[in-house]
Formats: sequence, structure tokens, C-alpha cells
Amino acid sequence: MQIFKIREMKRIQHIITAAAFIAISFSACKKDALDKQPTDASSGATYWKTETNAVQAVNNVYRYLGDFWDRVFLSGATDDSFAWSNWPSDIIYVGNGTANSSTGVFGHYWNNFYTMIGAANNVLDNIDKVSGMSDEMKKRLIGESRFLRAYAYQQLIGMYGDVPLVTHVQPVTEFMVTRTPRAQVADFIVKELDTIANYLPVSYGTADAGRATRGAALSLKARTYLYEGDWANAATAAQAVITLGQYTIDGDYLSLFNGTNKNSSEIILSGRYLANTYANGTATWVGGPSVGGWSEITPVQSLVDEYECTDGNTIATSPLYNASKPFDNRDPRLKLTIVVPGSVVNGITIDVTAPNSIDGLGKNNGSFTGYYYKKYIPTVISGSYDNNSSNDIVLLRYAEVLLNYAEAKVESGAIDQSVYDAINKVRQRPGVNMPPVTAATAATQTALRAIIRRERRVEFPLEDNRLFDIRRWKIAETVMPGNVYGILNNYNTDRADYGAHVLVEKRSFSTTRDYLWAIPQNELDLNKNLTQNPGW
Amino acid sequence: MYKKFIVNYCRPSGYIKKFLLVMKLTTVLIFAVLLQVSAAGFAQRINFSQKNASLKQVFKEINKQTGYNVFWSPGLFKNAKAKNLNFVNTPLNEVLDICLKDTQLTYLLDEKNLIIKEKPPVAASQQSVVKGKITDENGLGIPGAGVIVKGTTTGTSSDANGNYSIGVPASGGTLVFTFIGYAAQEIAINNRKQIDVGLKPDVKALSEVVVVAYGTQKKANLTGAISSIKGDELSSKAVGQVSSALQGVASGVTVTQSNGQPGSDMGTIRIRGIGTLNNNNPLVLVDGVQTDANNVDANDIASMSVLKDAAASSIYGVRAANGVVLITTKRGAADKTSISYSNYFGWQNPTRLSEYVGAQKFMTLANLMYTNSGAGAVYSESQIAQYDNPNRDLNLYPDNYWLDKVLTGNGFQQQHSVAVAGGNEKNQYRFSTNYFDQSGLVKNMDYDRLTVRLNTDSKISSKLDFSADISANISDQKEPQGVAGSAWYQFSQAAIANPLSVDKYTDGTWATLRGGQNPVRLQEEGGLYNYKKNLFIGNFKLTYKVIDGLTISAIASDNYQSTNNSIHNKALNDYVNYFTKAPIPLGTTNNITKERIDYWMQNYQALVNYKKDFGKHHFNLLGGASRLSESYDYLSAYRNNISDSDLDEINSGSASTSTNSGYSTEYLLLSYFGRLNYSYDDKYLFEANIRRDGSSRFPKGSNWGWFPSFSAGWNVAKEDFMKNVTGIQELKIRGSWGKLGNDNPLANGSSATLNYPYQSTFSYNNNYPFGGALNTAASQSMYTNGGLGWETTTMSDIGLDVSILNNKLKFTFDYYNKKTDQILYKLDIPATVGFEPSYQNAGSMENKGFEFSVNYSGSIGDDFKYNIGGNISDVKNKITDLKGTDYLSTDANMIVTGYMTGVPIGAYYGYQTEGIFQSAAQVSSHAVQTENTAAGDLIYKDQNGDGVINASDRVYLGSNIPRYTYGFTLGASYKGFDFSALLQGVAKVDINVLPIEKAPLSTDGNFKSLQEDSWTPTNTGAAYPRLITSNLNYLSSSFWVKSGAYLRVKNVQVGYTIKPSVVSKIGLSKLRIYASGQNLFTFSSLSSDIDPESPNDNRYYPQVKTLTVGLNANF
Repeated sequence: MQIFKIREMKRIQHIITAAAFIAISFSACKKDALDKQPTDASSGATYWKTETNAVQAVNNVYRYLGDFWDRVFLSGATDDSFAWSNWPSDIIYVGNGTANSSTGVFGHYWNNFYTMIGAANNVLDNIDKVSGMSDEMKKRLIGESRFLRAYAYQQLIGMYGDVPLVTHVQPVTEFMVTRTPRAQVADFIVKELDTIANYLPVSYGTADAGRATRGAALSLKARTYLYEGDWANAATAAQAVITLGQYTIDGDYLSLFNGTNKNSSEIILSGRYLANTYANGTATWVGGPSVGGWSEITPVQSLVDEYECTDGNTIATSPLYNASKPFDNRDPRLKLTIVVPGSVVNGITIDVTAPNSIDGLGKNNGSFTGYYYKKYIPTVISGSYDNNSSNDIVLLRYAEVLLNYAEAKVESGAIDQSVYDAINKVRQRPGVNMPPVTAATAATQTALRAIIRRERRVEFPLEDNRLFDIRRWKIAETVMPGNVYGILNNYNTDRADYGAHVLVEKRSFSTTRDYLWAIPQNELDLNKNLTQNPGW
Repeated sequence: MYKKFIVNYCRPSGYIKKFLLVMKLTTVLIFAVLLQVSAAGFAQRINFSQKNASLKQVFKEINKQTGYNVFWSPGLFKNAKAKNLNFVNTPLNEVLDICLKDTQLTYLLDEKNLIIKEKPPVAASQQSVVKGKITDENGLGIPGAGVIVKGTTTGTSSDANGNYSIGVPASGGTLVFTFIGYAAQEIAINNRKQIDVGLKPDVKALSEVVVVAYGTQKKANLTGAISSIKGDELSSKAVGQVSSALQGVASGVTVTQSNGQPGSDMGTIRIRGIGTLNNNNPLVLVDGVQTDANNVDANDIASMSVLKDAAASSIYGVRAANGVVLITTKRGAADKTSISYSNYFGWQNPTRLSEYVGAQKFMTLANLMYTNSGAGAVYSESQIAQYDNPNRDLNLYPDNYWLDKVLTGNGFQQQHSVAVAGGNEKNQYRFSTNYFDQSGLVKNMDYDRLTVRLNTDSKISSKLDFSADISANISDQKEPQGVAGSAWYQFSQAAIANPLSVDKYTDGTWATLRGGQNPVRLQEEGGLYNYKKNLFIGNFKLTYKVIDGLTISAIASDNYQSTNNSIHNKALNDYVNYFTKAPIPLGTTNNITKERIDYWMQNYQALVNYKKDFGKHHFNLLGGASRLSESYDYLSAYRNNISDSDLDEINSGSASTSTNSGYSTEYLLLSYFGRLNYSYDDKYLFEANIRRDGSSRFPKGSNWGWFPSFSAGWNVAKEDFMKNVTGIQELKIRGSWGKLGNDNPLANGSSATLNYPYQSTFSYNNNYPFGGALNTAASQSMYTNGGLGWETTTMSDIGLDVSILNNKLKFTFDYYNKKTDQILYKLDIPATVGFEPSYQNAGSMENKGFEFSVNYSGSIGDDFKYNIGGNISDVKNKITDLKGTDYLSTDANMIVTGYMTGVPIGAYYGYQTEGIFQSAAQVSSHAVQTENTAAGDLIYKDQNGDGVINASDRVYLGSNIPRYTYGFTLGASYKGFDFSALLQGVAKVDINVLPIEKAPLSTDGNFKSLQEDSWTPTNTGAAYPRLITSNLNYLSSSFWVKSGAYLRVKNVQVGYTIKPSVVSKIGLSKLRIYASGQNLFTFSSLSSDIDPESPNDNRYYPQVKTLTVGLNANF
């Protein structure tokens, strides 16, 4: 009688059981069923344990050094170069005075350097948690991090003036920072560098080439003092680098920038790159159509004119200067740095004056100035359009230390033979061999100042120095505004500018505004405690 | 109260502890019962062995062994022969079958009785024949319709013309006429010999019952805000993706299609606007299981429900905050096997394309731009004059219209669908397959997809149902090689390249474009990018009817998706300088990237449903639990320097260049839910839901949340006092309140930040080279997050449903208020912090609005039938709290968007413009803009009167969140003809046309025809400011914020159903041919090259209009 019912019951029970099992297994008091952890990254809470952790976190800070999209564009904000397009960098607006507080490059550098500072602070706040690391190693890693942070601040004060000084990873309550006076930040930088110089080794083994050295710390210190006008300390710090004996002037100027001489004894600090896996886009940005580039940043006539003739005189005074052959008898660095008509780059002849030249004026992606940079074109161009170069971006080199030394001494009035020696080491680099500057040719502070300023300009195009130099020398207001010219058009009768220099751009410069960049508008909109620089 | 329940489930306290205890005890009890059942089960088997056994002996033995009462009438066995029987542990039914074989006897078995009786006479009493014709609503014969004599198994089906003939008992009876999609009709025979019948479409089945969460409900008894859509409203559109078909068909649902690229042309679905700062995608469930709407074939959809308010959707808890879309697929029926086939062929064209100037005009405008900016002219007069000569050297003086050059595809698309459905009482199936093939506007930019679905239903017993649905699809999207995204590369190059760029020199050599690859060459000679997707979904459901009204279901769903991407780049590095023949070193390489992405989703659900009526009180209780896990696995490999550029496998590249990467993520969601429906006399309706969700995306302690909802309805029309009111068929007032959770901060389900939003981790996927070798760099990019909890949405809704004029005119109105708190968002933080912002519970937002839809269906005469419908919805979005961190954000296009309390999210901010400066004097008398501002520039209003135009003069300019989204549907039929149209639009929305309408700032860009109307001293009334190389006029300002209102004829279709008498000759029961058009016309005040539906800049793949012809056939 009952059997059928029970059989039916069996099914019911099966299902109820199954349902109950499913229900229970969901919760199952498997304690941490819901506690899912990332599978390819380590939790921040448990990260800081081993020396490897510390080393890899420090490696990360270096990633912001080279800044591969934008670094070479800094020159576009100076009287050296013209940036014709607003992509990938809109530095063109900074150069011609039409920038506003939302202009992209202002945010770009600000973000890049504060990210670098954040990464360094993260190491410094946490490295004590790591156990089993030698004291020496720990000091080195702290030294590297503090050096990189100091480097970021040196760049920031040069660009923006007063900037927030952030020296630890901030709790939320401290997000709304205020700006610290530039002098205080500079003071912080040199004190940091003083402290860590001895934490850092004088040199590394091959595997670690590229890390911050004692020389880099001392060089940065010298630069910081010089940029802030502390001549005596600048000279002392530069002297310390010279005394270190680690660095020499390289015999091959161009090789420092074309990827073939990355470990030159002249290079003190560089942003490092590697073909295929960690490449940058220099060839695309700097190269012209003939080398598959976009001529994004090109030299202007004023830079070309700055190079002396081989007799050591300027083109205005030298008998060797021939206006119809303006590129002959010039400081060899002119043709090492700049493509003039007929220059050969990586085996390709570039002559903008040739009829139908694809590099010519008015050609798509061609230079508006008629000149191209040769410096920084890598010898190997391989990869996609914005990732085809593996040359390093040079950030600190011995030539700068020597010229910093000379300038500091000259400005402090302590002119002695060491000043001439320093300048001449740079001028008389093998392959350059310009006539020496001597007490006979330049005896006074004024004469030497002019020589050093010219020497810096022709030695450092496309490096960051010019931007900071025209600011601290307060010459931006004279060199920046007005018409910017390119090559002399004495070859294309079709053009309206035949017989004259190509007019590239008209620039304006506000003395009350443009010595400092705008604090990025997005930053001001987020942090009401920040104040804007005057005029923006 | 609410807080109290946020406790770790595994450390239960009080309430939960008790619940768990009960669950455990139940299990123990069930085990005990099961043991008994197993022991007793054997008793239903018979052991009996005897030669020449009589039936009486056998039945007595059965009674003894099983306890059944066995009944038979005296003399029943008199003709039965004795048999030799030998049963060893044989099931009872087998014993009976063997014993009664070759007799005129049969048996009935119920719970305790076994009745032996005579077999009924087989078709013996057939005494007369009834003939007739079965016709449809258009008077056309229906072939294959079923006719059955009620209460018997006697049946037949109509022939190709709809005629039938059936033998009926002399005693008469009733005939039942049935056909799929039509209401069954019963007609008493009454001694007639000829019965013609006209079947009516079964509107009731489609519109009156609505699919709701975990079941269906009579539409009249709904208390939530639900829109339902019939499958054929979706499948009749010639679109490749289901999401696109949803556009304009339901109120409160906004679908925007931003891209026309084959395979990427899915629409973005928004239900009741943008509810949160993050992922606004609704939850899409196909037959109860979460998946992407575009994974279903529109032809397989039986119906779609859109759950809009909290009451309707809250049982889904998590991710239902943005609304829920329920898709139900078609299933087989116990009927004659039906086969249907449909296809269409279509041709796509861009809806709108930018118009650019030619070379000569380009050079003139460029010179104007440079001289306006203080530079010299770039192009010489003689160069410009060259273009007057049609026989000029095209290598030196090219004039290319790049958009035409890249639009090389034929845009042809086709679709074929076959479905076979059928079954018997116990098993039903429906199998369908669909092939869709779409060629793009660009050569090699194609998509094809094969979909297969098999839905089966089985009655295992009278109480146990089992359904197994398996669907799979394989799709393949192709693109030609392109730098940084293929479609983007093709269209952006075409939009930017100026006409002086050569595509191919006259000697046939390719030119580089903008210093890089030539997009036309990439189409013809480049490698192929290939994105293959394979999808498998298995959905298995067991439903057991325990007792009347009580069912238990177990559902298991597995979803596996694999994506195989192959990105093959050919070097194409042999470009030469045409004039010097010197090679141009682009430095590109032959390389291959292979990506494998695996995705698994497993969902197990258990449901208990109990329905009970006590008089007029109707109760429906639902309880359930769900476990949903997702995992995602990504692997990628790359090699460079492939020797033979045609090869595209990893091994063909150089091992020394190989790189690889990979990661995986996991997600788990545990949920418990319950629902109570109560109604009294179908007049008073009440529903309550409760849901508890635990998500792995939140840290311990805040990972569980409670989400309740309540709703009520009053069917006023059913009240006695309404009885005398004629003309009102339905009048219902609804109201609801509910709370929903969201743990899904991103639209894309794969990333680590999505699945571990509260974690701040050190990632090792970064490197830095020291000493010429990469060293691992561990980076913590995100700021450490303190804690994170559920985002919650609280929604209230008041609704009204009215149906008058004999149900001809229906309308529905809803007003709602949706408030989202604790929004999961990466609120921007100052860059000085040095880290990227992490997710936080950022603030609150409000969406208020209404929805209204109206439908009228009528007829003129017998043959002309029509329906007309309209819907409109409004949503007003407002940020109500942002933790005091209101901010504006400027993007790379200089567009300023606001995250400000009191205004819509992402609203446009910028300067108010006051025209164009006409003179230097006007410039100097106005507040200082910049040193370079001159006549011809935009005048920005000095809002604060400080004499300087700067960031503090920016004001609110508008919002891009659409207000008043509306749709109209029209349908008509006359004899065999049918017509339908869908119009869709937005009445109020602001669009920032800055990136689309601004002129280029250098020669790296092309001028549009409309920019010819830029300000010059002689064209002072120009539409646009003067052309200059700086972006003074291209800052965020009201000048560029324009009305994006539009009306679009989304779909028009005309069809003709050929008379069955004609098509039956070729073996068909139904044949309909049709032509349709998609995105046919658009009305908008925007300039002609802006698609108002996707106001992207013209560097994206454009929207397309499609013309199609197709047919539907039934066999």
C-alpha cells in the first residue's frame, strides 16, 4: 500500500537533499570562500620581506627617469627648437606663448615626477620592514631612492618654482598639500644628496650599469647649487665630481646619443632603454621623413647661428664665416647636432634644398625650419612608429659638470686656470677640437660668462639644460619672443620667402608669467590648497 | 537595523546561526528518511515462478508482495490463457506487461490500487466524417494545424491549403483546433459535416503573461515596472547584435550604438539612465543565466523582459541596480515537427561621412592659418596654381581624398537561420542554427558568426521535468593590420591625412603616410588581425513537483568562452623616397602576437517555489540560493623578426625576441534570496523580496549585504464599484520601493582592479633595463585603499497601467526616483600623492524620471489592421554627494567635465562665449584672454568680472546625458502585406563637438568643407573663428556645445506573405518575403558629418545604414 508513496518520496528526498547540499556548500563555512586574492601580484600588506622585494621596488623608481614620450620635447620650450605639431606633446604652445593652465605638458611632467617621488617614498617608508639585507645594500637602495626623488624635485622646481614637498606616502588627511618655497625644496635636495652621496657606490658592476652613483649625486648637487645661484657651493660640488676621477670627456660626441656608447665614461646618469622590449620613440619624434620620422622637434636658425667658426669666433666676427656657405668652417658640433643640406644620417643623404626632396619645406612631416636634428637619431631604427629607438636619454654628463664648475667659478669671481681647463676639456673634445679659451682670449668675467653660455647652448641641444639656463640667466624674455626663423631660402624661387629666412612662428613671452610653468589646472581643481603661479 | 546584518556569514550570530542549524538538521533528517526508502524500494519488484499460471494467481501474488489492492470484474479473465512465468526481482510494470500481452486487457495503477480492465475499443465507433478549412487572421489557410476530437486520441492535421478531414464518433463531441502561436479553439460538432474555423493569434500567450525574475506572472498582476518585448520585434531587425535590436522598443531603455564595425557594433544598454559613476550595464539573463545579450541569436528569442524598478529586479540583488534584461529563448512544443528557415541579405553604407576640402583649398586654408598665426606661408602660390592643371605630375601635386581611399569594403551582409522544433508529450526539442556574415566598409574588416542552440524539455515522470539547453557560437572578427588599433588606424589616418599625401605613386610604389604605414597598403598587403571567440553555454534544470503547488528546482549553468586573438604585423618596410629611390627606414618588423583568453562562469542555483490558494487569497513563495563563480585567464605571446612575412605563428619568429605575459582573476558571489507574492482576488497585489549577497570583491567584514524590496498593486478595474464603468478594461496602480547592491565597478569583466578593487598590490609586470638587460620592477601603482563596501541603489517607483476601448488602447506610466549611494569609483586624487586613485565608496547620485508608453491597435474593415505605439522616458541625473571633493577635469581634447554636486555627472564646463571678436579695439576693451588674442577669436565671458579670462571663469555648459528618449512604432497589415516602422530619438542632449568640428592646428590634419567658413577680415559673419595654429579657440566653451537632439528612422520593414495555396505547391506552409532598412533617415541640427547617436570624432568607424531583403519560410 505505502510502497508507491515511499518510492515517490525517495525522489523528493533526493532533490531536497541535493538542494540542501548545494545551499550548504555555498556557504559551507569554508571560511574564506569569498576571500579572493590577486594571482599575479603581491599584496601590498605583505610585500616588504626580502631584499629582492626592496631591489625590485627601487628598480621601479627608475622607470620614470627617461620619460620616453616627452623628454626630448623640452627643447621646444626654448629658443633652440620648434615643435610644429601638438602631438604627442603640445609643447608648441609653451614655446610660442599660447599655453594655458590646461596645456598637456604641464600636467605630464608634474604627474611623471610626482609618480616617481611616490614610488621612491614608498620604498623609503617601507624598506625597514625588509629583513636579512646587508647594511651596505640597504644603504645603497635608500641612496638610490633618495637620489631619484631629489632628481625629480630638481626638475620640478626648475619648471614650476615652488612645489609641494612630499617626502612620505601621504595618508588621506594629508592629500591637500601646499606649495613649499623653491629655496626650501632646493635646500632639501642638496641635504639629501649630501647624506646619500656616501650610501651610493662610485660605480657598479656591468649588470647594474645605469643605477645612481655617488658621482650622480654629487653632479646633481652641483647643478642644484648652480641653478639656485649658490656659486661657491656649486663649484665645490662640481670639483668633488672632478676629483672623483670617474669621468672623462668622450672622444665621440654623437655616440653619447645614438645608442652606440651607452656606458661611456662621460655619462653620469641616463634614462635607459633596450631594443624591442623597453624602447622609446626618439627616431620618430626627432627624425625627418627620409628616416621615417615626423620632425616633431627641429632646430631653428638661432641655434645654428650660435655655433662658432673653427677659429673660435662667432659668425658675426669670424673671417671664416661665409654667408653663402654658412655651414662651412663651423664648430664641428654643428654638423654633429644638426642636419644641414647634404648631411648624411645613417647612410641617408638629407638635402632639403634639392628639388622635390621629401624632407623639403612644405612637405608632409617635413621640417618647417629646414633643419633637422642629427643628435639623438639612433643608428638602429627598428620597431613600430613610437617604439623604434633604444638609445638612452642622457640626463647628467661630465661635460655639464665641467661647465657647471666653470660657470660657478666665473660667477663667484674666482677665475683661475681651472676654469679655462674645464671649458677647454669640453671644447677640445676629440672630434670637436675647437680652439682653447685662454686668459688671452677671454680674461674678464663678462667675456667668460658669454663663452660659457654659448658653450652650454651648443653642447647641450635637445638635453634639458637650455630650458633651465634661459630661465636662471633671465634671458628668456629676450631670446624667446618674436619671430622664429629657419633656413635661408635661397633655393626655392616659388616661395614667397625666397631670399630670406623661412619664418616659422611668432612667439610671445610674458616676463611676469612665463618664467614659471602653470601648475596643472586639473591639480588646482582637485586641491584647493594649491595656488597658481602668477599670470596663469 | 540594516547594519546589524552585515556580519561575516561564517561567524553566524543569532538569526543566521539558527537558519544554518535548521538547514543542517534538515539534511540529517533527510538522510534518515532516505535509508528507509532504499530498503522499501525493493518491495515493488516481484518474485514469482510458475508454469501454466493463471492471471488470477499472478494478481493474488502481486497483492501479497506489494500490498496493492487489485480489482477486476468477474469473468474478465475467461479468455486469458495460462502462461509459463518466471519473474526474478522483476519490476511490477514489466510483470503486468508480460502477463497482459496478447490479451484484450489493460491496467490502471494508482497509489494503492491496481485495476485490471478491458482495453477500450479502437476507433470502432467512427461513424461520420467532418471536413473543413482552418484559416488564419488573414483568411489564409493554415497548413499543418492540429485537429483533435476532444477527450480522445483521434486527430489529424490540415493539408497545405488548410483543409482537414476527420472521423468523429456518432455520439458527436467537440473538435479542438490548434496551431502554434494561435489560440486553441474548441467547437462542438453538433452533427455538422462541415466546420470551418478561423484561428486568432494567441496574443494572450505573448502579452498577458510576462517573464519575471524566476518565473512568469500575469501581466495584470505585476507590481513592478517591467517592459516586455516579443521576440519577433527583435528578430525582424537586420542587425548583427541583439543589443542593437533593443533600441527604441521599450520605455526607459536607452540603447546607443557608437560603432558600425562588424563585430563591434553592439549597442550600449542603459536602463533608467546612468545610475552610477562606474559600470552602468544592466544584468542580462538568458533563460535565467547571466551572460552577454549579444551571445544569443535574435531569432531564438521568444520574449524579452526589462525589469526597471527595484521591486522587479531586486531578487537579483547584485548588479541588478542598473536594471535587468531577461531573455527567454524559444522552446519546442508537443506538436508536429516544424521547420523554419529565414534569411536576409543586406548592404551597409556609412550614415554620415565627413566632407573634406581638396588639395588646393587645403593649401590656401593652411597658408591662412599660418599667416594668421604670424608665420610665413607654407605653400607657394605656384604650387597652388599647379592644381589648375589637370595634367600635372600627380607624384608632385597629389590630391587625395583619403576617406574614399580607405572605404574599400563592399559592406555586404547576410544571415541564414534554420530552426527545427517538435516533440511529443514527454520530450520536446528545438534546434536552431544561425549563420551571420558581415563585411565591413573596409576591405578585410569582416565578421562572421555561427550560432547553434538546442533546447530540450523532458518529462521524466509526471512530477519531474528536466530541461537541457546547450548553445554555442563561434565568431571570427577580422581587421587588416593597423598601428594601435586597426579600425581606428584606417579611419583616423583617413580623417587626418591631408590631400597632399600620396597613397601610391604613378609607378605603383607605395608612399608612407604621415611618416608611417600606409593604411591602404595595410588593407591590401598587411597582416591580418583576427579575433576568434568561441562560446559554450550549457544550462540544465531539474524541476520537481513535490505536491500540488510546491516545486523544487536545481539549475546548473556553465559558460565557457575562449578568445583567440592573432595579431600579425608584416614589416612592409620597403618604402623608398620616390625621387631619390633611397629606402625610408620605417623600422617595422614582421611580428606576431597570440592571445588566449579563457573565461569560465559557473552558476548553481536551487529554488523552492510554493503556490497556494485559500479562496481568493493567493500566495506564492520563492526561496533560493545561488553560487556564481567566474574566472578569467589571459595568456599572450609575442615574437618578432619572422623570416617569412606570410607566416604568423609564434614558432616562425625569432626565439630571442619572444616575450609573453599572463594573468588570471577570480570572482565569487554567494546569494540567498526569497520572495513572497500575495494577491487577493487579483485586486490587491503585494510582493516582498529579500536578498543577501556575499561578494569576493569586498574585504572581509563588508562583503555581505542585505537587499530588500516591497511592492504593491491595486487593480482598480476589478473592484465592484467599477463594474458599471464601461470602457475600462484595466486600471492598476502600482508602487514599489527597494534596495539593490552593486559590486561591479567596471564594464569589462577581466581586469585585476575590477576583481580586487580594494587591494593595492605590487605588480611585477614592469621592467627597467640595467646593464643592457631587463630587470624586474615591482610597482604599486594604486593608492592603498582602507576599505570598501557595497554600492547601494535605492529605488522608488509609482506606476499606472490603463487599458481602455476593449483593450485597444493601453498605456503605462511610471515615475521613479533612483538614488545610488556609496558609489564605487576611483575619485581623482591629486597627482602629488604619487599614486593612482583606488576605488572608494565615493558618493551619491540621483536619477529621477518618468516613463510613459502608449499603444493602440485597431482595424478598418476586416482586412486592414494597424497598431501604433509610442514611448518616452526622461531621466534627470544629479550628483548629490562627492565627499566634498567636487572637481573639474580637463581632458586631452581640452574638454572640461565636472564632477560637481548638484549637476549631472560628467557635465560640460567651460567658458561662455559671446561671439567672435571683430576688431583689435574690441579685443583690448574686453577682459584679457591671452596676449595672442586678436580679431577673429572667440569672446569668452568674464564671469567674475576680474578683467582676466582664466580657469575661474568656467561655468556649466550642458550635459551629455540624454533627456526625453523616445520611440515610435507603427505596424499595419492588409491581406498578405505587412508594414512596420520604428522611429527613435532624443529630445534633449548636449554634445561637445569640439573634437569633431575644430580645425587642424598644423598641416598634419585636414580641413573640412565647413571650416572654409572661418573668420577673416572679409568674412566677419563667419560660422567659425579664425584659423590659427594655437588652440585659443579650441578651449572648452559654449561655442562647441550643441544640441544633440535627433530623430532617427531606425527601422522600416515591408513584407508580403504569399498565399499558402501558392507556396504549398513547393512544399511550404508559409512564405514571407520582406525588405527592410536600418538607420534610414536622421533628423538633427548637427552638422552633416556628425552622427547624433554616436557623436564621436570622425576617426572612429562610422555608424552604418543597412538595406536588406529577406524571407521567412515554414515547412
